[in-house]
Amino acid sequence: MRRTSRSGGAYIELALLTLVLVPLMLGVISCGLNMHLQLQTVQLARDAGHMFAEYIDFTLLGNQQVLAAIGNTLGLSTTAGSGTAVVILSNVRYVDVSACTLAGKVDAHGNPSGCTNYGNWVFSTRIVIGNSSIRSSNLGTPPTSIVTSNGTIAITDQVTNANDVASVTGINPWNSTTDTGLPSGQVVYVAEASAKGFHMPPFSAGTNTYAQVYF
Amino acid sequence: MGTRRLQRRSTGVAVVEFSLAFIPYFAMLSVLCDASWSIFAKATLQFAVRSAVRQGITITGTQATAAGETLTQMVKDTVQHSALGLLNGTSGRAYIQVHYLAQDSSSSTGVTDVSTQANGNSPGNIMEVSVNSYPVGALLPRIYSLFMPVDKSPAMVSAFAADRIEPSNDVPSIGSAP
Repeated sequence: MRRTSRSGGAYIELALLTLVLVPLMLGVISCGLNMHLQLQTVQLARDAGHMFAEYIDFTLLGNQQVLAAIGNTLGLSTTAGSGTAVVILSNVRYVDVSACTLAGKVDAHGNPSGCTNYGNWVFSTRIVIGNSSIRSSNLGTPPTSIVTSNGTIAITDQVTNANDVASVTGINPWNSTTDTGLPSGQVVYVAEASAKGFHMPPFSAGTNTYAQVYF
Repeated sequence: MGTRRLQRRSTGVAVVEFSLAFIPYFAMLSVLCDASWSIFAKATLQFAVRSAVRQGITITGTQATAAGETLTQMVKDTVQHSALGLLNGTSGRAYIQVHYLAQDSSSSTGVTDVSTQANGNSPGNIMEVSVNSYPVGALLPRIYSLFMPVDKSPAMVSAFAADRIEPSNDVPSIGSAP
């Protein structure tokens, strides 16, 4: 009687083991795929950022198609609002006296006057390629009304529009005492990329990948 | 006697149980290995094209002359050397393409493919290196159903990288592109 009752034990053990091993395997797969997507996102941001810093005009469809080829497996599309990835390109600059002077926002003595963004980092260019609903920029988003068709923002808006202020950390403006920091008038090129992550609940929630590079 | 008969009958059970357990686990392991292999191949090719672009945009005429090659040849060499043997030989090299794109305001897209022009690799143009539709063979044939033919088709992977060619007074010969 005892031997007869033990004959199905292996099946129960197999079933119990399967309950652990199958989710474990699916978890490994989803984790691996997400890591792979993250690596591709980093490369997309890196390639986009370097070309952007070399003055490639990404408002042109042909240049956007180059990025779409690089981000093809992430689902980057040149059609605004579609696809499963986005590339956000920004130029940020520090508003110092020379920027205020450039916009004519100085008094007779050359001191800032009406230059409300004085002492802040602001956007001077913003270009978005792909599906902007995937993610917004970590630096902030300038109003679309002040961004021209070629992605630039007028100097007047840069120095006076409060909504054009960027959230930048880790970069210091020029310090003439220590001779360090970003020289006056220069811009920082920032490229951000994000893509929809691998979605397979409950093993992978589809958290978006993200990468940010500075040039 | 009845107990002995039962003992004799249970001797093959372990083999049967092992077979039943082995089949699904082997199938799962095969899926895992196949997927990993494809991802590894894709990552390797991605690394190869990226390395080639980084090097290609800075190659000078002096370097190309010393190597006895053109720019396009040197870029393809780099892709092959960085691809861990995946693109060896003439057949592997055939998957590699090097395109040169010039900014062109007269074009509807703002960009023109100048790969076939002698000055296609002028500084400022974009170099785009790609491996197109490389077939990653299945490690094991896939059996989805007893009523369907065995699937041995390879997974097609592609890799792209691009960058702007650096300014130079010593531009190498473009060679035969793409």
